[in-house]
Amino acid sequence: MGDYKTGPETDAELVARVQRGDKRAFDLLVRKYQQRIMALISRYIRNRSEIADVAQEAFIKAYRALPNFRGDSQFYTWLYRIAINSAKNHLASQSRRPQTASVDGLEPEQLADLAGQTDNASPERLLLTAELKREIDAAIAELPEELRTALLLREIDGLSYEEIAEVMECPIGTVRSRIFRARDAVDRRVAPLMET
Amino acid sequence: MSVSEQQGLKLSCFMDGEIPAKAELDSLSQDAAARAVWGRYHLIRDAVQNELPEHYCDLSDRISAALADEPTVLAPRPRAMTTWQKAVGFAVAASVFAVAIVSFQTVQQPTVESAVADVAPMPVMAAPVSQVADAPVLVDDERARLEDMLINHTEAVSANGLNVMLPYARVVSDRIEIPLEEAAEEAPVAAEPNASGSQPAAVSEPDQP
Repeated sequence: MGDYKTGPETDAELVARVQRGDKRAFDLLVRKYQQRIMALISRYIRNRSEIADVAQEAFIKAYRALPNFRGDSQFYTWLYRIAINSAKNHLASQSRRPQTASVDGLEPEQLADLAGQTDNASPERLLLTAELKREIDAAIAELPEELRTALLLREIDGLSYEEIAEVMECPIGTVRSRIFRARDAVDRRVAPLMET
Repeated sequence: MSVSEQQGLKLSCFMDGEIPAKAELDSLSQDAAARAVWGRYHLIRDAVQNELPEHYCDLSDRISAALADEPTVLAPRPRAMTTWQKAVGFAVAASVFAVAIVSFQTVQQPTVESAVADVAPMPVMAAPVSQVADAPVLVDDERARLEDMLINHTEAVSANGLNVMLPYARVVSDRIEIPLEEAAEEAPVAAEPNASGSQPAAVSEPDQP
């Protein structure tokens, strides 16, 4: 994964703050990486409620281990390893769990759990996910061209502010402003969905 | 929940690697609205980069609640050396260096004899090889005494379990005297063909004195 996708300088600053006892800084790391970590864990575990549980477990393990994190690798790489190990441990514990109970007395949800096809997310939550993606794509498509170009050069092509300024032939301050305005415009479309 | 334009701009630049001043970052991290905007900005990034999971879920509240009971982590920080500690370290290093210099100069200091030799070098004439070969190097008594010393030394070292086969062999071989006539008689025997019929390497006769 390219540096532009994770921002190692940002992570280093936040990690240093957590190591000095700032729990709020860890919340910023959680908010930054939670979707990627759940996407990663979902490659190992199909059960949707278990994905969230394992992701939470991985973040808590990371928090407890942060005093020993020396920055030899990037924070995201380190967190990635913790998440994969948590997913594998979860699968191993599932395989060791004795399956002695009869299925006759189980509820449909429990049966679905056993089959690994469970979906504890509500229909509203599923709708929200699809709607989120649609709203974000639509909001980006409706951005003024200079805002959309600046945002996509940053998020998809991974260019630095200096490189975007060179490509768009404008000062770096303008690039900062355009990228922020693009994010802000998309956020205004996304925020109401998150608050429902 | 939203934030001011200035805060939003700071958050946007921070997620792209521009670290704000400590006070600004303090206020951002302590502001719940700013943390929510930060999370949504990253959600937008994840959506653009196709990194969203199949099913969206916000874990931040659950994790914050779970961590509320956790003890605050504190990484041990490397202790910065005080000026006094630096001075002591420098003094120790300087002392060791000075002792090393003095010791080296003492070892290298010329003795009186070598100093005289340096001032008035004696002309050294190379003696003819025949004279060197014929000259008695050691008197027999002295030679015998040195050999005994060598053997005693070798046995003593051997008794201590050290590998001294080579020096012992040298001492013994040094004591064996083979008359030249016997050596001359042995040479043709060694030169005879062996059982396989191959010719041995020629053995040159020892030089006659």
